[in-house]
Amino acid sequence: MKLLIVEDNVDLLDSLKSRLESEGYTCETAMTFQEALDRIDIHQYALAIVDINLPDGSGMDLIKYIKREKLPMSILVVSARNSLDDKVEGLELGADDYLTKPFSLVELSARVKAILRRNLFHGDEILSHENISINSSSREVTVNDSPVELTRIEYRIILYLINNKNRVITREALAEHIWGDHMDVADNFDFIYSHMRNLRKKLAKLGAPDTIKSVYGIGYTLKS
Amino acid sequence: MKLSQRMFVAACLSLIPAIFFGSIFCFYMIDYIAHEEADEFLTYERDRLLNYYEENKSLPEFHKLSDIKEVEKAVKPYFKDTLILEEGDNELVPYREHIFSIKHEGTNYVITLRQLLLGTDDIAEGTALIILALVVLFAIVLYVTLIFISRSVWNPFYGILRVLGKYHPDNEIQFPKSNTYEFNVLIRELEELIGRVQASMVQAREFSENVTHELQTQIAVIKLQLEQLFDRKEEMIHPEELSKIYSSINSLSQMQKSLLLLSRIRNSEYSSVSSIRIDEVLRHTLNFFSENIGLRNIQTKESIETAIVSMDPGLAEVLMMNLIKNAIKHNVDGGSIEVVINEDELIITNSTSIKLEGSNVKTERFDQRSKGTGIGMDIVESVCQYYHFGFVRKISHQGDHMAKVTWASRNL
Repeated sequence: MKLLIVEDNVDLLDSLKSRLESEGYTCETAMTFQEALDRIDIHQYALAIVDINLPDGSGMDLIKYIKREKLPMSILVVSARNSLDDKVEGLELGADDYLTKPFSLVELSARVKAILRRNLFHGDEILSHENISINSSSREVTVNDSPVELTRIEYRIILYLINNKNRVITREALAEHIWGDHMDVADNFDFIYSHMRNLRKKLAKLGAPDTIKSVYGIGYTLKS
Repeated sequence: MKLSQRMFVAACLSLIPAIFFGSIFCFYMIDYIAHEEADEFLTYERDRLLNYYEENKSLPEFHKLSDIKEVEKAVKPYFKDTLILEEGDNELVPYREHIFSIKHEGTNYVITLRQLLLGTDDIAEGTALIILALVVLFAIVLYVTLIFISRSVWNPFYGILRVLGKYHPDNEIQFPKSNTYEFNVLIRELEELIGRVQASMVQAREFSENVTHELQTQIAVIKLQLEQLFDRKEEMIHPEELSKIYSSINSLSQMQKSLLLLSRIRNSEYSSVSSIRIDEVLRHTLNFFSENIGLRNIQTKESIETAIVSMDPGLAEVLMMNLIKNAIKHNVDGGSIEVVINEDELIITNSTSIKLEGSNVKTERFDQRSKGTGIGMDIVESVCQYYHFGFVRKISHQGDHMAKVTWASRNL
């Protein structure tokens, strides 16, 4: 699946490209508005990751162009401008999601997967890990085909982990994924520990292997 | 107090010395005129009497206002005041006397003519009535004149005030036209001042946007590089130190976002005002944090009534999120949160581990003693100031923290 990353910061661009390629995507990059336009005109992409601030134009204009030309392409906006107006404008123009810098790679990866799942598979993809299955449209989680009663946050955690299998997910990234700009409610991560403990218990009770591993001092990882 | 009312009161107050000295002047003027009139009358009577004598060579009959006495030597005519006992009222009554001589059959007579004068109390009463009537008349005329002036001459000034009252940095400002030199100077100076303020705000906005963009992009680079290192944990050197750097970078980013939000609120960059069901925002917020509340076994007590507030929807969410988050963050396991919201106010009371000496301590100290930066409450305070809501925080002697937001005045 081919993605276009439009970002003017070369280090950030390299990190994004490297991460998404490691997830199995084919990535092309553009560092300017014009370069992005040229690529869009020639190639087809499943998803464009578009930075708003470009040296020779605005990412918003790129979204307008994609929508005006009715190109079959999902759009994920990334911006350092944590402005509600930008977010609303981006989504109103037709972007599928909006991510504010600095985001984490696991968050980006989860958002990309969610957009692609929604737009290409109409949200009906079944995600699975070992004997755990998640139906992302019905939000149902099963272990060995037995449903697990999870809270809203526990569901988001397991979905996030499965979307980022074998990746280290920092506690900060997890907190930001759950509480967004209000992640400071979990300043000392007690809430994360408690949710994770409860999630592990519920999964283990139905026979799921203990594949959620703590990475000491950093966070968690879901091992295959 | 309005300008016209202030001018009216000032004019009326300035009348007090005028009334005082005017009353004295009026009193003596009436007294003087009364004497003049009496003297004129008595002189006329004297001349009439002397004419009568010249024609008839006999002295006329005198009534009680006149007196005649034989004297050895003639006196020069003169006037004087006197008091005569009024027998009926048993009261001394002021009279003006004119004394002159007449020679009849070789004998000198002194004739005293009398004319009743106005009493001091009569003059004072008359003076008071005149002054009172004048003051009332003056006040009415002044009031009507000031209303007319404020509606015509001062109209551009009130127009300027209306424009300034509705001023928002994002909107173009258009002052009313005026033919008055001073108002035109005022408009010119205000336009220049507002132009400078707007330019400064645009610069500040651009500066903060640029700083945000550059800073958050670089933070993003650092974060992503660290995350890539975390994924290669086996090869990683000093993982704990790197984790601390990662945490600090996250805190820095959050801090910058919070400060930017604070700056944007204070720069009045939130202009989208609509009627918000703030009770629904509160319900949503409590639901958002419900699992955090449950995990800490915090008991909640809610009294939620419909409350509609005019404000930016984004800021309404920011306000509620920060208040409830604060009540959870600084709470104790097994503690409590009580939420009361109605059309006038929102009161959030929560238990806290922080004990302060004395009761009802103003709680900047709260933030200093506890975790976090306290920016959340600064944001709440700024939102309240922006919309002129009342905002009070207190910690009771028992350690209960209370935050109260009053929006009733805004809705009036």
